[in-house]
Amino acid sequence: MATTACFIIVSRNDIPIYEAEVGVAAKREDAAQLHQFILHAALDVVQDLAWTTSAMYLKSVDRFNELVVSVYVTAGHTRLMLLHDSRNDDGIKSFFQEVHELYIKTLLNPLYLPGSRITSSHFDTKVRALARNFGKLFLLPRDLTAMVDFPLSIVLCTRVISRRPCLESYMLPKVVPLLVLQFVMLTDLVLDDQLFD
Amino acid sequence: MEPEVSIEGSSMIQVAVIPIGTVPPNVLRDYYSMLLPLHTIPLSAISSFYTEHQKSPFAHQPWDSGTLRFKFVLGGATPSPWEDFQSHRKTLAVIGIVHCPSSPDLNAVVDQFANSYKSNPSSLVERCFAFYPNDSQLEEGSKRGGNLRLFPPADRATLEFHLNTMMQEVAASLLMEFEKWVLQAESSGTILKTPLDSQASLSSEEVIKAKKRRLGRAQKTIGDYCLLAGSPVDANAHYSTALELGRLTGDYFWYAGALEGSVCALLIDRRGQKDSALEDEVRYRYNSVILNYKKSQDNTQRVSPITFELEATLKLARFLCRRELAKEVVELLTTAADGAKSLIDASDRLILYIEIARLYGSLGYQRKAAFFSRQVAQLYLQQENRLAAISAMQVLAMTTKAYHVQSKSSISDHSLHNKGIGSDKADGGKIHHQSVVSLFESQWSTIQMVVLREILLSAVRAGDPLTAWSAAARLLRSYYPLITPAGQNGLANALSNSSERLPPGTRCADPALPFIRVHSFPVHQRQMDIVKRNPAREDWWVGSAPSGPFIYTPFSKGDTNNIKKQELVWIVGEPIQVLVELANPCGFDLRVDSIYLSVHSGNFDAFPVSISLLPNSSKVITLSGIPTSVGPVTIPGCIVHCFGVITEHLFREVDNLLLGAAQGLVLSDPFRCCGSPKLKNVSVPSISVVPPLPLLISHVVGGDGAIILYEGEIRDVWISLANAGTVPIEQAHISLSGKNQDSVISYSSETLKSRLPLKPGAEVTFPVTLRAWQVSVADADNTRHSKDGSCPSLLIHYAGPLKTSEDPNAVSPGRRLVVPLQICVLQGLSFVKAQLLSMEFPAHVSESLPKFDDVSNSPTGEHVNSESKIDRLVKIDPFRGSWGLRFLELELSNPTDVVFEINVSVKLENSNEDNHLADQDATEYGYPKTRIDRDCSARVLVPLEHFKLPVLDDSFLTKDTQTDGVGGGRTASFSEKSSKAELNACIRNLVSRIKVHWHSGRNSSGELNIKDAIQAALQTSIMDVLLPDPLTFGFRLVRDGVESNNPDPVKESVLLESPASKSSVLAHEMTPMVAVVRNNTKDMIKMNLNITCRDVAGENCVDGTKSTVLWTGVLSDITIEIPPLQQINHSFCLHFLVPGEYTLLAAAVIDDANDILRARAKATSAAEPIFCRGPPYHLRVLGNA
Repeated sequence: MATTACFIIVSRNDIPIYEAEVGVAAKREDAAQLHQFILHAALDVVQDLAWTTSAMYLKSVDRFNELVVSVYVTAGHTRLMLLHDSRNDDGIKSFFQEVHELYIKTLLNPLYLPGSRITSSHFDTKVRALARNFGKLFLLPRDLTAMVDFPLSIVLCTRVISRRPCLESYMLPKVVPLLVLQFVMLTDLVLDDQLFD
Repeated sequence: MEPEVSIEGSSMIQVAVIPIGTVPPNVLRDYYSMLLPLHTIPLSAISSFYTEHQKSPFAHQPWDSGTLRFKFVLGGATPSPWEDFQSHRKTLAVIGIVHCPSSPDLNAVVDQFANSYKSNPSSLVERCFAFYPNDSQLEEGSKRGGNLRLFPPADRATLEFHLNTMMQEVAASLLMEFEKWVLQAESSGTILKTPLDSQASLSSEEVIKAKKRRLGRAQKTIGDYCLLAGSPVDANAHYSTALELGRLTGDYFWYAGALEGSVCALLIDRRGQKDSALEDEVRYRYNSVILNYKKSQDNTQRVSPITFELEATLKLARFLCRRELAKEVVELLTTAADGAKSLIDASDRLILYIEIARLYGSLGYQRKAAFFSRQVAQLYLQQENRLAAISAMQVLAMTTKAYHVQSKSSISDHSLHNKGIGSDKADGGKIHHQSVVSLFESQWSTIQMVVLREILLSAVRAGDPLTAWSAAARLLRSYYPLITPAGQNGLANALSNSSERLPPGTRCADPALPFIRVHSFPVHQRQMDIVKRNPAREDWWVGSAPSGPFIYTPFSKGDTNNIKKQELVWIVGEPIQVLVELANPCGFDLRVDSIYLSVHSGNFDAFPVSISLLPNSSKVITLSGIPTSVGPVTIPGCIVHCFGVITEHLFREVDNLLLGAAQGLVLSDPFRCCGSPKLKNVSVPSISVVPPLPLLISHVVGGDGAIILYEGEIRDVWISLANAGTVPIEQAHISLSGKNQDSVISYSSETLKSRLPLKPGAEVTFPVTLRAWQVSVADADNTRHSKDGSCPSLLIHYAGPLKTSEDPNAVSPGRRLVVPLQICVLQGLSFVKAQLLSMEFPAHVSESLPKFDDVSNSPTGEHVNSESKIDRLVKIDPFRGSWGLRFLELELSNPTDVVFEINVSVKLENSNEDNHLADQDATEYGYPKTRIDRDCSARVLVPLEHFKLPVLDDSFLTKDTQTDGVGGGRTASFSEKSSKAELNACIRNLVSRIKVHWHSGRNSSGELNIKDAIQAALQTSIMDVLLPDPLTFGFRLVRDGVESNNPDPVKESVLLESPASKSSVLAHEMTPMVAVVRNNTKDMIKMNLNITCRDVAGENCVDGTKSTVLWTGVLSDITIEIPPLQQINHSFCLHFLVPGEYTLLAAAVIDDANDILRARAKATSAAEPIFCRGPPYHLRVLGNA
């Protein structure tokens, strides 16, 4: 079951300025430590990789056992790093983009010294909320995603993110009623929080 | 798995090196180190030992360029189940090492060696090297022959040469053995098995297949031996066959093995050349190797060839390990790391991680390397034995650099120097944010704590108390905010437990607690100030010290050098103090056994102190010491003995930490969390030590407490000075400084000067006369608190000999002693108010004129003896009256609890008109003492009669500034402003003559300072007090021509003794009288005189219808001219009809008055008539009605 996620922002001076365990798994201290170790080690890979592409989102750059490190490098060489254990590039990418926006807002605060720790509780709340929303995405159990084909997973995701019943308006004219029934079942299944908690 | 695998590893002959008998570890290490360089033996070198028995199977052996390679394994390796598969895994030779001095019996040695090589069945060649045999052993050994090789005692170079020769022999033997083996294998074939081969019975089809496989495997193995024999071309040929057969039979595992061998052969063949084509070839073939190994995996098998797959991956990664190919290598290593899960053996996993860490390290990925090193350490820690713990500790120690938690002892000087640069910037005051950030790069506190905790754990297990102490110290010092109080306690216990196992006095490079920063460098105590001496001047101290009253002068602002070059001068042999602040931000009591200043320059004796700090507290303590020799002193920090270990705490590090805390980069400021106030960054000034100087110490005789004085009190204080230094004082000068300097009336600097030179230990005492100042209203509330600020001090500049013996060119500085005179002024008599009272007692008309003061002090008059004056001052003569006499009434109250006695004295100067000021003595009038009890008030009257000037004249204007004020009023040409100033000056002069002295108790006496009050009281009527009227009027009875005989006022005054008999006038008699009018000015006065007489009711009884007095002569409109300073008599007679009291009045209207007169009369316009009026004279007319 995929339940681990650890998000960290590393300043250009390699100082972690924000850390959050955003996974839904029961938090174990040594696991959290391992996450940080993996993220720290991945910086070596990032430092080379960042200069090979003009994209900010570097996709998954490193892995250790099941844990994958995805990185997003801002123009100021601040690195947003997410440790997760399943692959959902799109979800992670949008998560990074949203957090980047939040980070820029923090930077704009004249009282925030660039490179120092982000202590804003507002930022923290927002990031965790984002992680929760996208978390449903990038924490989707693999077997479930395997059952669902691509357009459906989009609908599913959209539904989960926006929390409104868009399925009917978006998909109904295009898909077979039988499938729809299946989707709805799946959607409900996904929305059942017990599945994740 | 094997450590340090590489592609070329297939060509290495594994040689076990086994110590035989007892070999001390260091000796073994020594021998082994001699052996190690002989890992490559060129084929050309072994030809002398080589004999070709049969035709060599290695047809293409490169005798001129080929080599045999050895891999020495100390202690030997356990036989691997895979050694048939890869021949380089076999231990093909065994070398025994004997240290003869510790193993005397060679027979036993030989037996032991035989036993040990028998445990290596694959071994082809065995040799036993015996070092340092004695003569008998040499003899015996040479007889024995066989495997034993003796190395006679020789120097190292010789031994190495011998060893080289012996190894060449071994190599040659091995080569011959290989040939033998290959020939045998080619002819008879051999059974080669791996643990992979199933034990199950084979079907017939499989038997055929197995035969083919066996052929392929044999070819592969022959290829291996060819490689070991240093013949890659032969090897390649065999490998090609093996590959063919392997592909045909589907023997993927052996196929991959053969492929690996072929790559190795390729590389050996192309020795040293590396081009991209070769690289591509290797990469291609190795990918195929990995693929085939993967293919050969069979889940049903009990053993898995995964290790070979991983080894192949690592080999490829090592081959490609270059910065440019980092991505590819990372990919390979990540794959390899993934394989760790499938490894069953923990030691395999250990080796895998070690290799991965090494490869990452050589790639320059320090963090990755550290990560895998930590994985290794964790695997070691799982083993729970001491050796594993030591390994874990050492591996973790290697990761500390990547995690930025390294011990200071491992940081090289270079990096220290770099950090030093950062702190220099910090000293400069302004520091760029980025450079601060760089100080705290890679602060991953979570993982840093984990690493340190693991080091601590492994060190405790490994029994290394110093490492444990250092780790615990680093953990506690850097991460205390993240550790719970219980955890902090645990660390404190770990520290003390570790220190118990350490020898006392152990030093550690990593400081623990407390945090120490410089609080301040106290400037010299005021009595120790050092003053630069200017030998060219008499007053040598001038200009050396800040002379202005300002501590901060704007002119020094621009001179940044001065601020930077904050310098401190210490003196040899004189104790100094430095204030430092300690902070214990942790939750336990911290006991600092000793702390003292750390001075690297070696010319300073520091005194240790011990202290204990409560949880979460900070303390400012004084550290002291004595400079011992001349030179600069640097104080980088403190040496602290705490938790049983001695550490050096550098101020600079704490400063950086505080800087980081200010920028939000560090978790917490240890001082602020202890509640200590924010302190400016104190930089350690540059300190220099100078040769000994004299040292003057002062104390006030009779106690150094505050001198308590009442306001205005005057007292002598004796001050004693002693030379406490070791150098005599040759020059000394006393001056005053501070507030209320005028309260020091005198001090005797001559006393001090007369005793110079003041030898060490000598003492001198001199008096200082003090007068207490007035307590202002604000002071009165807090007299005792603010006394320091308002006290004057004596400044004593003193100096020793100009030149010192040590450095004859330098001028030794002088010093300054500040002796604060601690005066506590108590409120004494307080002045309530002063007012001017005028008194009018009409005089009685008598035969003589009433005696006016001005008359007696006329320019021609002599001195009057003061006794008679005092009499007249105190008593009021009824015949004289007191017209024009004014009293100054002073109201004084005594709020204190002692009794005061007041003594008023008036100093009278007889300098009025005289040019000879010098020989005119001041006359002083004393008045009786007035006693004022406690909480009482009293009024003191001061007659102001004596101040009248005799002449109303503008001649003072030019002569005497005292009367200028009056003149200013008279002369219209003077501006209003200057006239006012002159008036004030005049008043001041007047006031200064009045002195109010007081006494209290036995020895308190002083003077009341009431000048301002008197001045205020006199302000309005000063002219009246000071100036005489222009005209003086008087009346006199004339009795039979006495007047002409007796004009002398002095004699008249004698006549006054019996005035009653003479002054009576009878009614109904003609009474001749004279009106005396005196001109007090220096001008002729023309005037119109009128004389009137009034009765008791105030009615005019001369004129009018009901006049009761008849007269002869002229009484009104008498026009007279009086020459300057003369008097004229106007005679008339009165005839009183009714007895009773009458009053005679004279008045005059001055014609053609000049400016002086106008001013005196305060006339507003020139047209206004100037009217002068004399005092009333009483006349008693007797007679029967």
